[in-house]
Amino acid sequence: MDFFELRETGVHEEFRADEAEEPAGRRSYAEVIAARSRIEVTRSTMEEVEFDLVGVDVSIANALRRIMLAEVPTMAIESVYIEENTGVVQDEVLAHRLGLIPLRVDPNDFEELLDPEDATDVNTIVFGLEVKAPINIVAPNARRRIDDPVEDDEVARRPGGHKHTTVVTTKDLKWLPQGDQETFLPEPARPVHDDILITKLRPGQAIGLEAHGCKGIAKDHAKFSPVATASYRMLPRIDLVKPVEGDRATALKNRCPLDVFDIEDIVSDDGPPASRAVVARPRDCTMCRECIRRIDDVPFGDDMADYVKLKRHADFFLFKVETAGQLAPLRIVHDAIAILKAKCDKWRTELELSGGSLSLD
Amino acid sequence: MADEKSLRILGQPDNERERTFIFRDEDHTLGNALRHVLMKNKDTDFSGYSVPHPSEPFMHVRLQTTGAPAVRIMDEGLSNLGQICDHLTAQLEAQGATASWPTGGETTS
Ligand code: SF4
Repeated sequence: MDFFELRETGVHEEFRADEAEEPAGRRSYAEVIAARSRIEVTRSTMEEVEFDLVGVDVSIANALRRIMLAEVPTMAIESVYIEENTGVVQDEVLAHRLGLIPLRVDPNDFEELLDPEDATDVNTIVFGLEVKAPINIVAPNARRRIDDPVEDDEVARRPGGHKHTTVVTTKDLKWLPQGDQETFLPEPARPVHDDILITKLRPGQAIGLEAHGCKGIAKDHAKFSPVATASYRMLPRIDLVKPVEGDRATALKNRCPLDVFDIEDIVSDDGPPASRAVVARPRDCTMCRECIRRIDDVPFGDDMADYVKLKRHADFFLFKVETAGQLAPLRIVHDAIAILKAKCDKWRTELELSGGSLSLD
Repeated sequence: MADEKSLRILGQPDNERERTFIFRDEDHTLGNALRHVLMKNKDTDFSGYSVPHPSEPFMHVRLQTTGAPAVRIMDEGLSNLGQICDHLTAQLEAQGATASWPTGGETTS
């Protein structure tokens, strides 16, 4: 297994502890990987999932991360047909803002829309947005500030709403089912959140538009990205190369801001009771390097680096995937692996079709 | 130059050990993973990938083998990478990790 070591100087170095390489037995690389790799979900909530990916190369971990960011399809608003817009936000800015709204629609229920002319119920979802800001008759009252909130107005009661300001949020987006969508969609299409501010209107201003959503990937436009963030880090490994005992153990424990170390009592029949530092929570380590820093005028400040070695596992990845709301967090991971697989299948077919013959330039 | 074909193969007709594969609409995502898997093949002498220009949708993989036809090794590489994906999917499913929304608040497995 490989490690990367981090020294105080910041230079890092690869350690290649000789891995018992596959004996000449003709196991394919996939079989070797299958024997040693695993995925373990460590935390899973509505918003994010954390999992360990162990035993694969960085290139594969990174491919999955890149696919989650840019190639897992979702649905988003793509074309906006504006009939009326007298608000201060211009048509194109309004359309852009609508595009960025995450939609809770399963992209698997839809086909790809290749040409806007071909829009049908199997590739397009439609939302309507009709808002007319009421013209309020303000009682002439010099003491009253023009923006005082009005309690009895539903629109005005929304955050940011005032007597003269109508707030347009994703709550105003109305799904307009097309064709058989009401039967084949398990639940009505809707924005992920119903309190996203789209624009604000002054009395008398109005917006009337139809927004068409379709399937896409974030490679084409970032609005299609299913993740707020998808990242991994390599599992830190802290080695105590010499026993760290007594006062030095306390000093080490206190030095670590993430509380990675614990102190263990050593019970011995003779001799005074002693204590020793142990690495208890390597996952919490942020590689801040405080524990190997040389500090003057501090007990054990000058040679802690001789006791502690900071490393990272080269094939142990701690993933964290946070959904933007369109897809369940684990679904994104699932889809990403499936997409990588689909790429391999696609190129194998292409290779077969070409018959391996050379292309003419 | 802008060939519409999605896969192009360059090389010498009389030397099937050395090939350059040009993948359309691929980038570092597939390139690096594929390069890695190819390097692990015992018949591979050299394998490298590049994206010659970020605004062009092409990714090149250079593959030289110790004797086997490069096209066959490329096929093995793609197949191996696909099998790794299958294995990871199986691992994820074995976790009881369903692809749907977790019900209720926080769930820990
Ligand atoms: S690198 Fe920082 S967080 Fe990690 S063990 Fe050392 S002091 Fe603690």
